[in-house]
Amino acid sequence: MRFFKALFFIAIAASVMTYGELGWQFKDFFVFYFPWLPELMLLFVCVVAGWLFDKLFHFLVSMVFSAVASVVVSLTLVTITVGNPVYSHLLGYGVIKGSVALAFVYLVICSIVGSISVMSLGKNDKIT
Amino acid sequence: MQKRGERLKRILLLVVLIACGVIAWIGIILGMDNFRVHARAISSGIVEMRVDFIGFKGVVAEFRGSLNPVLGNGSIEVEPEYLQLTASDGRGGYYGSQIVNFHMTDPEDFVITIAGGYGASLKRRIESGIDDGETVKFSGILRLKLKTGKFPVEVAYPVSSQCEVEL
Repeated sequence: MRFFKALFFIAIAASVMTYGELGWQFKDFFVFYFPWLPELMLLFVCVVAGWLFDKLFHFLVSMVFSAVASVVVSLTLVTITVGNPVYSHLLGYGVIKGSVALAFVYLVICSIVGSISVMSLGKNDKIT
Repeated sequence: MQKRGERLKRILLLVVLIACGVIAWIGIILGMDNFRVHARAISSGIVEMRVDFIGFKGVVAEFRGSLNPVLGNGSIEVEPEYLQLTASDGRGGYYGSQIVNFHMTDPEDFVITIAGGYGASLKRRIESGIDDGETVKFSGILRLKLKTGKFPVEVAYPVSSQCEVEL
């Protein structure tokens, strides 16, 4: 059950992170995008993490997996979407840098917010 | 009763979490689809810029410019916003830069000028030059609005042209 809860959390957090990463970088193209909406959703997800995780360690590992998955999904989507090898090469470095930087920022902020939530709401057994 | 309330709260949180995921994916899919349309339009098109020398008015060199953006084999409607141009010669000489606002002028027929010290320098160079004329190169960025995809998007497109200046 714990595994499925973590998997569910990773799926949601990675989706919202991907939305934020791509939204910031391609906001001129994003039809359905409101500034700070992904960040607000991510904060909500982190606060709810307290109900999903009992152990802080599990939450932090899930957070790392979410960040990595979001970068992978972002880059895959951009590569598929562009479809033109010349253009994707020109686009490539900036998107990689942007996605990694944003994923890192999300990871740090979410780890702090989520940790507080897990420590206060979860049945955390002091990292054992 | 308390247990039931707790279960309801958990279900509600679960639903909101799923809603977050769904909102995120709607945003991603719509956004990336719009980006795909624009990216293909940009990479499959060409913007032709033609510049012809009109003449000197004092020390002001006047050029007639015209833009012909053909994106997505002409199927994509474009609206030029403005053009930021830099004029130079082939030897690294700089003749200034200029912004042409297409809200005020026609993109198919606009005037570019090299004025002031740059114009005087260009005129002097031609008057005292060994060659009959001077090649002036124009390069810059064209900001245009692509009226395709889900909603218009402004993109920057590099343009360049050159022309012979003769007295």
